[in-house]
Amino acid sequence: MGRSRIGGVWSHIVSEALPLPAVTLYKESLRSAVEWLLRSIEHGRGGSCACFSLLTGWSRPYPETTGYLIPTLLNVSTVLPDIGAEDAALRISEWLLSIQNTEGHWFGGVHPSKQKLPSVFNTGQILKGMIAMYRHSGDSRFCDAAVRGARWLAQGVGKDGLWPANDYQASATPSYYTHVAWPMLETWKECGEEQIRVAAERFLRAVLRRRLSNGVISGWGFKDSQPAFTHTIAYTIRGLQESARLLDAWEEFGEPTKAALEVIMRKAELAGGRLSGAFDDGWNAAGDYVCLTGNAQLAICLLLLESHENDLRIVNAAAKLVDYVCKQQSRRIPLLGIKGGIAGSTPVWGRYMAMRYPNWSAKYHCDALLALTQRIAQSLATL
Amino acid sequence: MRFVLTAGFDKAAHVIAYAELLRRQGHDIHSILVVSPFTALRLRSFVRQRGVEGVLQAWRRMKGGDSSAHAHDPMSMLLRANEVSERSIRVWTRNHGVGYLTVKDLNSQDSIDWLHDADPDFVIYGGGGILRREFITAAKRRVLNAHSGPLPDVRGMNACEWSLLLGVPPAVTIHYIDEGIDTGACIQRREVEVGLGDTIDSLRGKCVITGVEAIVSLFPRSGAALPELSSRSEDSLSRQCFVLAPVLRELLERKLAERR
Repeated sequence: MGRSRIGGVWSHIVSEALPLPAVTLYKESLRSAVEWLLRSIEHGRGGSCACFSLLTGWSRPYPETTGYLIPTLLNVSTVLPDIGAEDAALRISEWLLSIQNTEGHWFGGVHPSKQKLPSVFNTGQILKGMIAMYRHSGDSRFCDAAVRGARWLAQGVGKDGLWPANDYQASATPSYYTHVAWPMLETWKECGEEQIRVAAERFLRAVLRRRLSNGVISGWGFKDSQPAFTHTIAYTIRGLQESARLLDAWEEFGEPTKAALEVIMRKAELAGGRLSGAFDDGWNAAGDYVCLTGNAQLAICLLLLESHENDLRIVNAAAKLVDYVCKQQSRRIPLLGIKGGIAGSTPVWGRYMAMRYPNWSAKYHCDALLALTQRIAQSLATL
Repeated sequence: MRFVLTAGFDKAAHVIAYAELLRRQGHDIHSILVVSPFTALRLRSFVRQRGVEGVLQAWRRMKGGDSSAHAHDPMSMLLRANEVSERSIRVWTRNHGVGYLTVKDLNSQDSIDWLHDADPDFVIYGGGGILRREFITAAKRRVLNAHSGPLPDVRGMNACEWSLLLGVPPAVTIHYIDEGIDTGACIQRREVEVGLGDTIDSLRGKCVITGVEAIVSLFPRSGAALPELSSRSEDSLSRQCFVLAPVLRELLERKLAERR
């Protein structure tokens, strides 16, 4: 969620104007999750550890998620100014600058990369951090890095709108790469280079052609033949929503996500926030576990939809998704790799990031808490 | 006219009120179908929807609540005002020679067979879960419900609360139940006034009482005909409401408190 839109309400959120008990719990959960994120940076050798594993402890730093952690930390620094989030954001931004390749891309996987393969998706996520830090600090080095990365991404898009050099596990560019188009457009907003916008739009249109009649966007999972985790479903939807905002084209890119979100909202409500961790293309749940980061990410998507619909029924579903994640957060366990962190799945041995506490679960939980609290603050202000 | 009533638990005061007030107007209360709350499926669904605390609250309500709260409960006050002494459906049916059947699910075969045998003119829905096609058909599609919100705008759970949150004047709607969630044809709507001292609980109580009064008034002693069924409006497919999340409940409580 863009900092500019959150902006001035922070002071209202942290003031005593919001003594709703649920909001107080959200703030406690937020602080605990941020403390976990800061520990992941302490152990991150420059970046933020990808995860804490119950079997092997803290992992090596993960450039991709370190990148999109930056806007979260900057937003948090306004709500919790005493926690050191702003300094941490600056440190990891400098680290990302230091490991960018001369072609503009970043390598995939944890750092240092063994295979040294340029990564479309990971580069895209790091752009978010670069742009956020540029907007925050005004330091042009971050904008320059983002532009170099976005140019590399744009040059890789084929005439069909896809990236022919494929990443990760799917046979064709996965639909969740809308989460790459979004930061490309963020960069375009700053530098104005049309080739970046054109390439991003071409990919977004290719993804929309994959939309099924039930709202599902095929290819939104990691693998072609398997049900998609709510994590990548949310990536796909969020990428379209944010791109729609940046292009001022909600009808074209945002509205097509509504049918899927209506299904998700209903499922979330019926399950009291315990949304299944993965769905197939017929919206059948796969497995009896919850992908916690997916819960938090989809709550944000619902709140973005709600900003167009102005309907508290959508906020209600988002709140249940967030509440469920709050309940799974261990705030009293003294083990510092767990305390405040959010597991990949619940139960912790569930299929998504089994036995691990990824940094992006905590990141999206923070983002969801901030977005939900902001929305509640808006409602309180109009009482 | 002959009625069968449904209830979600034995201490459902509004169902006792329906039964007693309709009986006093000369109608035949054939029986009351009471859903047992003690099925694993129902408990699991309750816990998922309302959390453990919500289930404990419901448990206290099912048991009739504590005596001090009970004394000020709007439905209890309505029963007292009408000099109805029974606080249990089982006791009421025994006192008046009316049938009583406990079922695990209103849509069970036992329940449907019972309805076929009873052949009521109307079924008054007083709770017990979502009705399926088989039940509605067995009741000849004459199942009436008092919904605590203005239809078609506010359909689903916690409708009274949602009316206030969505900025729609609170009202109770009497409607036929069909296979959708509060999508059946509407018969009557009665507005519910929000007073300066009202809380969520007091407003819910007002809605229930308004619903009882509205349904009972549809069946005077002389037996008036109900309005013809109207076709379902497209508007009835507005977004469904669900149980309020804690933060929205607190927001509503704040909103009501600001009025005082």
